[in-house]
Formats: sequence, structure tokens, C-alpha cells
Amino acid sequence: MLDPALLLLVLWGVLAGIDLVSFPQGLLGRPIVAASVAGFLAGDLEVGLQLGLLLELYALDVLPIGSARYPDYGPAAVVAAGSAVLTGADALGPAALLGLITAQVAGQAMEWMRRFNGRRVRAAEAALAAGDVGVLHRLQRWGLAGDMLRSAVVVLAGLAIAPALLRLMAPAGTALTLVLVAGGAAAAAHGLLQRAGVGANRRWAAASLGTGLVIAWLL
Amino acid sequence: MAPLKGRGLALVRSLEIQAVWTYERMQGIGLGYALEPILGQVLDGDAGRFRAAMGRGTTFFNANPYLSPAAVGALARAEADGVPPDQVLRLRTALGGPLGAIGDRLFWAGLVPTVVSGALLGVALGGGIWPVLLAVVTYNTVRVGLGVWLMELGWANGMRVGAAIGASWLPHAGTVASLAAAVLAAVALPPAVVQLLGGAARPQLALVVGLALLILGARRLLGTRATAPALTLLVSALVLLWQWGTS
Repeated sequence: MLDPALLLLVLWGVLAGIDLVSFPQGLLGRPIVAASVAGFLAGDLEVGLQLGLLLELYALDVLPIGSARYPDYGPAAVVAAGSAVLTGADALGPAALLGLITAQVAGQAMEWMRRFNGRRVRAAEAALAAGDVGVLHRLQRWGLAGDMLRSAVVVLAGLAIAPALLRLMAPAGTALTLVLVAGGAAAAAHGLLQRAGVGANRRWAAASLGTGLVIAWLL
Repeated sequence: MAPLKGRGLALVRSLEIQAVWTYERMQGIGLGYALEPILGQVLDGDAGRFRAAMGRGTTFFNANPYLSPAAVGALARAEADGVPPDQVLRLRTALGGPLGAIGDRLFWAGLVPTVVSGALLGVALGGGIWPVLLAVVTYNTVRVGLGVWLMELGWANGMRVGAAIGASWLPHAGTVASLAAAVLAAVALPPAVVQLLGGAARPQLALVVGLALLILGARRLLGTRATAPALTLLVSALVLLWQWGTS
């Protein structure tokens, strides 16, 4: 029988997955949210918060504009936090690495889904041009269902292979944590530089970074 | 001006404007789906006009999804006023640019990173789940409130909605929000890193900072394909190979 915690994780992973573009784009798929809730559902909120904190640094470098291709961190954060708690992983690094890999796969799956949607819409072109509302409703329902399926498959596959992968990576746990945190810091810094642009905003960002360093030193 | 009917359902449907996103029509299908409840009300009893309007309603459209309610309101008004079809299609095309530019700056470069960075800072400072929940509630309150206002603005102004948005507070809000995002992300980054490293010794902290600068430098040097996650995966693979090779 399916473990209730596992079932909840998959359901939450589906919600986090469709939140990225399909519905409702309400921050549920952000790693800090998705991983925290996943940690809570799996039984350890603290691990979820830590993994959410780490994966969110990577997500801060994503600008999901137009036809841009980007990783999907929502289901990935659920896989990372859920598997870390359920397997009792010691270090953050291996679970975060699993999350990073899952995010790339989920992003690629999104690309496939968009192409599949394109084929379905092309097949319905005549009906759409004639204003056929029934066809429109079917396309919309299947589009949403397709994204739900994509997210469920990603989360299920991620959670299924997680125990073996985490065991394999466990000896390098501490080193991987350092690498993953460094990568996250680089990603967030890159996103920050992009947003700050030039001129006054960059000066404000520099001053704020100084404030952040003081806060970090006091922690 | 007639009151806007069907806006509740249209607003809910605008939340799934990208569920059938395609490279050919982008958000076109979703926009048509969101338009339907209003067109069904305002063109009630005229099946021919309704079907023709729905046929136009699903053609190409691309803008920021959060600002799409303005397009829903404006296009519905244009159809209700009996604006010629070629002008409705021109309005649809013309709206994409400004709604995309203003919305991307306001949301993707502003509100989203601002709220998320606030949550990161709160978690890093030991606030637990509460900063995360506050971020989600705040963001969605702003987003839904803005959606209601935009749909009304679109309905009230119809073909002149572009000028109405340009004259509103929205363009300036984008500038403020992007500055807020830069400030909050910069404040949150160092505490987040320190929190993640827990009680790590200074040499480890120095290693992390050095590696982060290396990845950042490599990313800028190697171009857009060498993203931070890609470079991190590469370094992680090397670490794992070294670990397995020496154990």
C-alpha cells in the first residue's frame, strides 16, 4: 500500500509543478515554498526549509519570460526535501544535487509538453477558428492534465530513484554541500547583478550586500 | 458603460492562461478561455457574433501572464462595442508589448524576487515557516487584487487601454519593485549562505566564497549556456568521481 506521506508528497509535487506556468502561478512552485511544505509533509520541516533555502538561490537566477527555457524547481524541491527526510540523509548536498538534476529533467519535460500541446492545437485549428468552445475547453482541460501528469511522473521517478542515488552520494556529502552552496550563491549573485543593472540600482545593491554581510557576521 | 459581467470566472480562468502554452500561439488559447465567460454575457443571444469573437479570441497572444486580465477586459469591451475585427486583432497584438514589458519588470524582476528574498531572509534569521507563508499570502493578495483592477481598467477603456495603463502607476511600480528586489536579494544572500553552512569553519566558508566567485566568473566568461546549475553539476560530478576513485 502507498505510504500516506509519499502520496501527500506526490500530490504536493503536482501542485508545485503546475504552479510554474499552468495554474495558478502563485509562488507554490518556488523552492522555498515547495521544499518547506514537502519537508513538513514528510515529517521534518527544518530539512525542508534548509533545502528550500538552498534551491531558491538557484531559482533566483531564473527569468521565466516568453519562450525562455528554464529548470522547473517546484517538483525538484519536493523530491529533494521529501527524499532527504524519508531516507534520513545526513548532509544537504546530495539531496540538493538530486533536486538540481530533477529540475533540469522537469524543465526538459516541460519543453516536450509544449511541443505536444502545439501538435494538439494545430490539429484543432479549424474548430478554434470557427469559435468552437467545446474544443477550446477540451484543449484547456488536457493541457492542465498533461502538466499534472508531467509533474507526477517527475516526482514519482525522483522519489523512486532517490534512495539509491543518495546512498551513492553520501560519502561525498560534506564536499557536495559546499559545492552546492557555492553554486547557489553564484546563481543568486548572477540574478542580483542582472536585476540591479547599472547605475543607482547597482549602488543600492552594493550597499545592501554590505548590510547583508554585517547581518551574516552577527548570526 | 454597462457593468462587467462574468469577471469572476474570467479572472479565475486568467490564472491558467498558460496551461496550453505553445510556440505558435503562446498564451492565445488561454486568453480565449478567459475571455469566454465575459463574451458569453455581453454577446448573449447573438451566437454568430459570439463564435466569431471566440475565433479571434484564441489567436496568438503573448504578454506577462499576471497583466493579462487587462487584455481580457479590453478585448471583451472591444467585442461588446462592435469594433471591426481587424481592429480587435490589432489591439490584441499591440497590447502584448507593453503588458509584457511592464509586467515582466513588475513581477519577474520585481515582486517575485522581492517577496522570495524576504522569505529567504526571514528563514535565514530563524523565522521558520512563517516568512514563507507570509510571502505566499502577500504575493497572492497583491496579484489577485491587481488582476481585478486590471480587468476593470481594460473594460472601462477598451481600445484605449494601452494609454490608460501607461498613465497609471504601473510603470513606476515596476521601477520601484525591481529596486526593492535588488536591495532585498543583496541583503538576504550572505545570511542565507551562512545559515546553510551552519557551523562551518572559516576555511570552508572561504572555499565556498572562492568557488562561488569562480563559477560566477566562468559563467560570465563562457556565456549563457554555462549557467550556475550547469557548472555546479560539473563540479559535483568531479567531486563524486574523486570521492569514488579514492575510496
